[in-house]
Amino acid sequence: MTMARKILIIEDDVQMQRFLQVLLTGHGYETCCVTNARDGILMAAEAEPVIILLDLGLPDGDGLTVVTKIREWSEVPVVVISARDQENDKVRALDCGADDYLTKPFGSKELLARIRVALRHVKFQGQPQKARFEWGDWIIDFSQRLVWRRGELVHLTPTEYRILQLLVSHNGKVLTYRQILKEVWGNAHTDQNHYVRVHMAQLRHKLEDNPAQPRYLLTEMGIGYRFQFETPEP
Amino acid sequence: MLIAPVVVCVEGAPGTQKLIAAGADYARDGGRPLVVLFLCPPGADRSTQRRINRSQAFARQLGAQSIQRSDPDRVAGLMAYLDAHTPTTIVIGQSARPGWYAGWQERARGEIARRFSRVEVRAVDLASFQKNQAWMHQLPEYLVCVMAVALLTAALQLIKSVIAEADIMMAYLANVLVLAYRFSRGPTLCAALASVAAFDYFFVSPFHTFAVDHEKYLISFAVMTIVGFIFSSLSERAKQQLRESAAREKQLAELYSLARSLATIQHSHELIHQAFVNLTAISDGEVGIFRYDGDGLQAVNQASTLELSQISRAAAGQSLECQGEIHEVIGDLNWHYYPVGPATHLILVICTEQALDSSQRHLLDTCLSLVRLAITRTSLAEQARQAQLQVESEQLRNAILSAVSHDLRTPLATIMGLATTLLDREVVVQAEVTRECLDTIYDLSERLSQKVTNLLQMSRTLGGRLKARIELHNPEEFAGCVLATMKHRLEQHRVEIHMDDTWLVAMDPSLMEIVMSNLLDNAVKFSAPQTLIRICGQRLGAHYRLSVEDQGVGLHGSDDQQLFSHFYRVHEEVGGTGLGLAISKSIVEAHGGTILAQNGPLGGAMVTVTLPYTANEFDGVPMQ
Repeated sequence: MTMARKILIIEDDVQMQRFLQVLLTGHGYETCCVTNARDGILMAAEAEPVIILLDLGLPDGDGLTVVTKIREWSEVPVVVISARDQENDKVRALDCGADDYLTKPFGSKELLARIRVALRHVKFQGQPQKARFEWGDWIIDFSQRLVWRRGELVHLTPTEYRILQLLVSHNGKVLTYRQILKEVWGNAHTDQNHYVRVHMAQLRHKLEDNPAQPRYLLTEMGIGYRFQFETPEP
Repeated sequence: MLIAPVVVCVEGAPGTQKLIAAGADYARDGGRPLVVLFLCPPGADRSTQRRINRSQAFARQLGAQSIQRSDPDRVAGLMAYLDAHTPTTIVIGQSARPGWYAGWQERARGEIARRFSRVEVRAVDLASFQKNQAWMHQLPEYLVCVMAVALLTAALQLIKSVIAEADIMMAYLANVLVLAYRFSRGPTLCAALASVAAFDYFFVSPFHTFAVDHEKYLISFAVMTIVGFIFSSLSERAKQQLRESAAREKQLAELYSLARSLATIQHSHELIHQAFVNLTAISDGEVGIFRYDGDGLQAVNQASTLELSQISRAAAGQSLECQGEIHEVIGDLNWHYYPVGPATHLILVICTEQALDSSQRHLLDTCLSLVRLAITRTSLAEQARQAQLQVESEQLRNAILSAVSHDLRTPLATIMGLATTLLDREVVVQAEVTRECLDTIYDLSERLSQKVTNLLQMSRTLGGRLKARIELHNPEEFAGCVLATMKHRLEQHRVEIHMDDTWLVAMDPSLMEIVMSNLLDNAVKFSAPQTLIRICGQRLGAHYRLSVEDQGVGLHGSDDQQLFSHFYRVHEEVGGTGLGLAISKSIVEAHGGTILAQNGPLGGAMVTVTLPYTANEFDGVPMQ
């Protein structure tokens, strides 16, 4: 691949860092490691990585400040890897601008899949939104605001369509309930998470083959939703 | 199905809060929602308006929905409401006025009985709150007395020729006696005087003038007046006693209801809320409970309408210091400060429009001593609970230590052993064996990870940090997520899901995920590969039931108590910490639900989790 695939790893545990390095170089990525928040922010600017893996518990500050700082000038995908497994930690990181969140311990396959998804998201972001989006059995025509499934027109309510459009345009990225509520309903309803759940359930019943085990409209329990047009398994 | 609410109809007169509190009692007993219907014709005076505002705030604190109608005719307004909604119970005030001079409430009752025969009407006596309207109240009684004397005079006039004068006098006295029995002192006395005047005017010569021929009649007049006076006094006293005993009975009932509600309460914050509700009903004013510890004043019951800034620190401090009531009058409001208990730093503040009378004070004192007792009781109970908890957590800590040393070390030893074998250059291992070893390492570390999660969760539970962050979730989505994370573990089994997906369930998904993954893990552990595991979700009334069934070995008569206790294992030879079900139980209980294990229809075990609250999927969600 011609594009430099450099990954910045901000992680203070040396063994973890080594594991990530071995894994990622083994899969053809270039890596660059730092152990604290200050260097992490500097390297994010200098090395121009295509993706950043970030640990939250850093010796000189919280990883969240790193995300916030980087988001001031860059849209590079940030995947948080942390031992903190409480929902509100995840939600806070995602609300700060992180793209994804992986809890330690995790398998290497899962990490690689998330990295692939994040990279695809970048590719997707870089292009102007196409008028027509096709994958699997679905076709979305953004210009006409219409959705087909297996050649049949699916009737979506305006809210369902807005949610679908939002998720598809952030393909691969986890969107928190708050982010979705804010985009679709405006600022007044940011604590009514169940609105989103109800509409997502409707949307899945209209679009997914097996709504209980969805393939594309994925749930991050207690956190939000993500749209993924390919399953993470290679 | 919607549960029909209890509707309280009020007009904003004195006693409104009392009426609302009574309605709240009925609603709570039936587990039904409360609606307060304010029937307030336009043009209310200032004090009524203030009472209405205060009562609306009070209703809100009780969790009631308040509706205001401003139809000029209250009964018409109420009927319009009943036409549109269909409540089954209406609570309405009842005044002690005679029938033909009834308030709108009696009219409304008649109308409801006529048009909505299936609506149950509960009347609450408001008489004691209408003392200040005594004169208005008595005006019809005077009229009745004068009319009675006039009628009697007319009758006697007709038969005057056939009866003696003494009989006429007796007839008048009898009339006064009857009136005294029915009416209060003023009207009776008025009847006695009217009788004397009528007797003199119509039956003593010279007729049709108040002049008297003979002095002998003066004694008759005097006797008639005196007898009338005595009758009225006696009957007034009897009625006074009746009123007092009725009031005492009501106070007793109030105290009884307070004592009963306090007795069932375990936590001091619930206790304070209950005391607040009862005291608000008793005093018919604004009530607040505050903590004052010398330098800071803070509100203890969030429900109060009294603002912190309105409370005088000086008065609060003084009242705590002397352990007695402080009474202040500011503007047209009376502020009463009562210390709740010597050691609690709690102050009860009551703000009323009229100063509390002695019987209200007496009642409040008694209530407060009940509250004091209850506070002492709960604080003792809380101490005992703390001590018990400490002992239990000590035992549990020891148990965890031994479990950790056994259950974490064994797989760790295997992992280390396998890894060192693979690392050892001198050992020649075939490629497929290497693969197998690596598989085992991965498998064991995955299970270790699950155990660590369990132990972590357990320590959170024990540290009292288990607080469910409950939101409405779609159970189908939830089950899908759990299955996705457990995919690897479940791949040897056939998994079936049957969920009715049309409901939202109140739960904390990250905690319930622990429950579900423990149940699924048990199902996998205790059943053979390729057997069926079935997950069912079903709404039952206001509850949601989730069950996990397997075709495994079943429960073998282990009882619930054992199964859900810490570190209990059905089969020693099957690995595990014995914590899964115990943790699941504490999580389900933190949701207010229940968990039950039994042998299921598939031939193995079936664990059923019942969560208490479900909502219609479309409740309050804007669909467009």
